[in-house]
Amino acid sequence: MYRYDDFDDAFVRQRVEAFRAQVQRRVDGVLTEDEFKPLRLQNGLYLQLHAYMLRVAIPYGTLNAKQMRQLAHIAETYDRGFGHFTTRQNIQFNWIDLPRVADALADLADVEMHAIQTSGNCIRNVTADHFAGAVAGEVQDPRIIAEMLRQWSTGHPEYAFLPRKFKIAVTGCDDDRAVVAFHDIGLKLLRDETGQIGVKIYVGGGLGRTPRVGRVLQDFVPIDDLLPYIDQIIHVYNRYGRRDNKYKARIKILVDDMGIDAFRQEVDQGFAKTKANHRSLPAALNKAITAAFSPPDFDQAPETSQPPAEPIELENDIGFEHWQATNTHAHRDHRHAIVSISLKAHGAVPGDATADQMRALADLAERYGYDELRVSHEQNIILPHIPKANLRAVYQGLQKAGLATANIGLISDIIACPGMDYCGLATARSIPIAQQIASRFHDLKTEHDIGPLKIKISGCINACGHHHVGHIGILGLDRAGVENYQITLGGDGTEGATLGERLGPGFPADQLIDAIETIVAVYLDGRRSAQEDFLSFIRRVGLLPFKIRLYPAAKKKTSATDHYQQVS
Amino acid sequence: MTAQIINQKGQVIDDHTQELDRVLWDKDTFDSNASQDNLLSSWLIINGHDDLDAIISNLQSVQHIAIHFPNFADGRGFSMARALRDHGFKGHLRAEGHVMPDQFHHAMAVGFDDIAVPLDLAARYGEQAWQDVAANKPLDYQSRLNPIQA
Repeated sequence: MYRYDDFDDAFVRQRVEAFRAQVQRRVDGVLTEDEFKPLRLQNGLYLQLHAYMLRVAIPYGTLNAKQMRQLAHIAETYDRGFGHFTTRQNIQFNWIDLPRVADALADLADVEMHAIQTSGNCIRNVTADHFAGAVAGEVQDPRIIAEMLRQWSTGHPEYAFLPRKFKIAVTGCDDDRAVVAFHDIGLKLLRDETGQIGVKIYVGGGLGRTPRVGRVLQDFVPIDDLLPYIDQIIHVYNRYGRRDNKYKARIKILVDDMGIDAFRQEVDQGFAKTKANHRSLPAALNKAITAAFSPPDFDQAPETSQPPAEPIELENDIGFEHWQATNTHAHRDHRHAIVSISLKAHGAVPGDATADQMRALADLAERYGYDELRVSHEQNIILPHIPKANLRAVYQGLQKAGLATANIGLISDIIACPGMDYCGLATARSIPIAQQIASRFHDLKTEHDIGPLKIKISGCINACGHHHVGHIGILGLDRAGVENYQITLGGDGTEGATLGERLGPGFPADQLIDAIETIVAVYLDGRRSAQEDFLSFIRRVGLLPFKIRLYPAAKKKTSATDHYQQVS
Repeated sequence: MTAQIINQKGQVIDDHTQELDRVLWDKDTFDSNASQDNLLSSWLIINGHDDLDAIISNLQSVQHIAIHFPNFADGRGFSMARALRDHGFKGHLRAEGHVMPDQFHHAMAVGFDDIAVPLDLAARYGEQAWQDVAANKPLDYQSRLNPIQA
């Protein structure tokens, strides 16, 4: 992984001290709250419903054991002993005191971490495929250009006060786990016919209250032109993006208003004009960044299991086999597996981990997994390179830490925003809904039979829980003081890039879980076989069969009934 | 004096250009011959929504351009300054309005020569505040990635 050089280290420490001084000026009253706000946001500090929240960047989701242990230390020293992993591969601490923020940031700097540009109207933490460097079929490890973009965008003088936040994601292969079609800029690595590496660029994708699938801006931009080309995109956005209405300020609205062709023309003109001012990355830096993501020496993989840290009573093997089937993924090296660790124990808060759990994860990564961890946008933790001989030992270690839930990709592996439990913008609770759904299907013991099914829950129309791209999306609204949940079906955040379609009128909280169970029952009754997963089923039959079961009044329409009989 | 002028060293300076005429840009600015003569020795004041391409087409007619910042969170002025410099404007480029000391290095990096802050803001931020930031130039990744060749 990329290690800080003297420059990175000095930069981050300088920012900590600059922020310490800004906090002092706010405390002294020199800075107004309006003036302080963008400064604290650009250092990751939000004011939430009950307290300040600190959002720490985990660039492209990559961590080592030492960094994970430091997050545990931050959780215990400055927060209430836990942290919350987010959908943008960051971690949030929800109970931070303003006067101690700079100390927490200094502790982060000690392990090459920071909270710079994790919020505010600037270029945010660049995200990448959480299987980067571990999965087969990559053109190149996407973290190489993600790191170049991190460096280029950090503290960029022209882009610190954009119309609105700006998010970039990168994928290195065809299977898109980075949701590139739903970012302000999405990048997909590929090769042209000569074998040269470049990127396909999507622009103006996003969720929120105006969901948009990203539009293709360029089919191929060579890597050497990547930074100047991205620079022009954001330059055009900064000049012409709307600033009169924060809900219309994202680049997706500018692309809507200009049209993708006029937008492309504007970017291309500026690029042609300014390209001569850009030089390639200095060779030594380019080499250092590329080398930082060369894979570990997989020949080190032991053929027999390493002994665990301490002997553990073996529970029955069925648990291990279930977990292995659900929570591991094929690795590029046949002797290894990619392990996904669920932070979605049934009934727990999605994405939360205690300090002890963070330390347990760090120990496992260090002992069995080349000292590497990832955070996925689905709020889980990945051990990207585990020798197959060590899978059982890893499983046992996870069991001990309460982290062996075998539900990756299943109905209880839910993305949920913090909702009304933490967030000042929320119109409904998200976390308790996620907990209730997970508990219900756990009790029914049907989730393995149901198979792959992504539920995503947002507590307001800003869509932090990505409900638009959930196979089942749930949006919590406030209807005259009562929480009401709208359901969408058929969303897909991967390479299929589809927005979910609204099913019909929403449900109050006390009827919602039954409604979800009904939706699942329609699928189980109607699927051709267990091989037809939930999303494929919806693509085949549409929404009508679900509407008929959920809203019985619709049954009276004969055509609808006919349709339903065809599919059941 | 209606504003305090901060130079590239963070110093408050006496500035004779404040006595120049101020011409607020509109779409006819470059059409009238009468204003053309006067323009070279005036400040051309531009706002974020103005047609920068029209100004870029007439750069030979101006020597002094001031970009107005309505509030410090409106970052259009940074990109406008950069565009003017990219297109070869070599004259005097000023950021005026609500610009904070925390934005000093941003302003210098995109090509501004100085900053004019209104007196009410200047009352909160004395020369010392500007000199402090000027003396502590942060490291910047942009020059590291794209080093300016001397």
